[in-house]
Amino acid sequence: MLQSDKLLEVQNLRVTYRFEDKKIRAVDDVSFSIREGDRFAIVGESGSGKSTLGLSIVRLCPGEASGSVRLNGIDILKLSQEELRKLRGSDISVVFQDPSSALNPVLRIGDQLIEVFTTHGYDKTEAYTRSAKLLETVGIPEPEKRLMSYPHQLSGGMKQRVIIAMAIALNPKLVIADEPTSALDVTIQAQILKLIKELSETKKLSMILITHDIGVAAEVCNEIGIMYAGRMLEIGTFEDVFHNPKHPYTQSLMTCVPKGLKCVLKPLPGNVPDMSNLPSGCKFHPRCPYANDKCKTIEPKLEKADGRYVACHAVW
Amino acid sequence: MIRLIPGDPARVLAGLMASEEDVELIREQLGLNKPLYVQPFTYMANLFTFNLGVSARTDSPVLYEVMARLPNTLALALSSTALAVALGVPLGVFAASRKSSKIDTLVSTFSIVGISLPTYWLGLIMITVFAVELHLLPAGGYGTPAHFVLPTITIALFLMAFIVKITKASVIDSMEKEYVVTARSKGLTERVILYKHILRNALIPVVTIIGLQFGSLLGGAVITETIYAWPGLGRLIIDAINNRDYPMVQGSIFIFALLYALVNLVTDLIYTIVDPRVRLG
Repeated sequence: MLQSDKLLEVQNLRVTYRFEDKKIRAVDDVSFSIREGDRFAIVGESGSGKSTLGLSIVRLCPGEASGSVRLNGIDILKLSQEELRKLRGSDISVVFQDPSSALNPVLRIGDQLIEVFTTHGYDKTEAYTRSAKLLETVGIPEPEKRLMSYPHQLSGGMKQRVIIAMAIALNPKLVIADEPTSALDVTIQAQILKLIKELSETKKLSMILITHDIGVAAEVCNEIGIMYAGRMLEIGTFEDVFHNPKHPYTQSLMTCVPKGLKCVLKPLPGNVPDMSNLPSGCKFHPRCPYANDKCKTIEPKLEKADGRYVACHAVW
Repeated sequence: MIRLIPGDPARVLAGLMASEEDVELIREQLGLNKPLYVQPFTYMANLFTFNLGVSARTDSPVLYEVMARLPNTLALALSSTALAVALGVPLGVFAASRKSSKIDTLVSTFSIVGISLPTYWLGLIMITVFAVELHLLPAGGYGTPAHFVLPTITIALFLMAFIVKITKASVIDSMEKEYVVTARSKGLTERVILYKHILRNALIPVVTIIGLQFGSLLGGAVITETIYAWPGLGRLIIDAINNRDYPMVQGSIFIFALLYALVNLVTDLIYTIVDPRVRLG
């Protein structure tokens, strides 16, 4: 068997939610892979399944997942609960969207940070010194005082720095950041983004960044995947996809990004499809200016085109 | 309100053989001959010096009578609350952590039954079974530890059922919070997540409920104390009402209100231990 250089390999991942008797497939047949040091952006509108996809990689999502998610060749979906527990926090960690609800309000910052170390086998004094150092790394002044603080005594930006500290505590192989800046205001967003970028470069973190904001992805990522209605429509290097988008959906997304002062933003007609009642064929065809008869009946697969992968019949 | 009940305390106090003059004299002593709208103000003025008046029936000071009964009520309230908390909280957590299992169904059914059973019925049944039929425990009265068993269980059963319900709901609510997902993403064991992350949050509303319930128990579990002939505040009030002993009724209700406020204050202070967000500075 060939030793692959892939750190994470997601194959045919499907995630299904059950609501009473209804089934909703939030992620459908998604495959992609990440090499070590890659910073992969998953970009899509609300409800496109990007958060479900991100959290399903560490099985933190209540939906049922099928397919395979391999980290260095080991299928995470097949791990026992105990093996999964050991992997979480040490090999793969998560940065959550809203730092105010992601921290436990009744526990001190120190308790919540130190337990990351202790649950993975460090003794308490070692965990404490490392925690204090870690807070300094993420730019929190007076780390020893802050370890004694409760979450409500910190600002939103500070809380997100604490969450990031937890995520990088054990030098994980992969960090999944789920909309890490969406709940913060714009100036703080820029600071946190800068921190994530610096950390990813100095620590050579591999990362999956989930966002609806291409600007955020542009700051940090070198690879990008565009999601729509639970599918990946285009995957490639950030340069290629940003400057030369192939999929009609990606193209229309890029026209929504302001470039300079004189640009005209073109809104995409129509709405995000209802996940419980998806259109046939290509899920994007009702909103696509290039849709033909084939698009309405046969769903396109991701195929290699011009140095990246695109799922579109009309691609030229 | 209580003045609307027919009956004259002066006449009760004076006894059957008293003359009309004696009754009039007693009325004057108690201030009952003054207009109805003056009486409450005189009473309130006296409250500031803890002068609750004199019982219209026994002639001894109300404060003294209330204080004599208070320890009994306090003891019963403490023992039943302790029992209810000791069993109710763990059962509630247990049911929540095994949601929708057979054990959960069993616990939930039990708690609904416990809340629904009327105290007077349960009390009478327990007396019939344990005291009358089995001769295991005294049917009523006060004095030895054995006297505590039936009244404590009677009160605790309802209280416990209530605590189970609140605890379970609160734990389930906390389980769905985002910080639990964070905790899981760190690789903590489910045990640590439950005891460290979920419980600390879930117990905050439970503390409130326990405080409120304990407070109302201090007023005397009126029905339970009556059934088991327990010499506590509840029975004092009932007896006072039956005898038209106005000073006693007012006095004991005043003390009860005072205690209730006090317990609420203590509950709020406990809050600062459980929830860092309400701590000052």
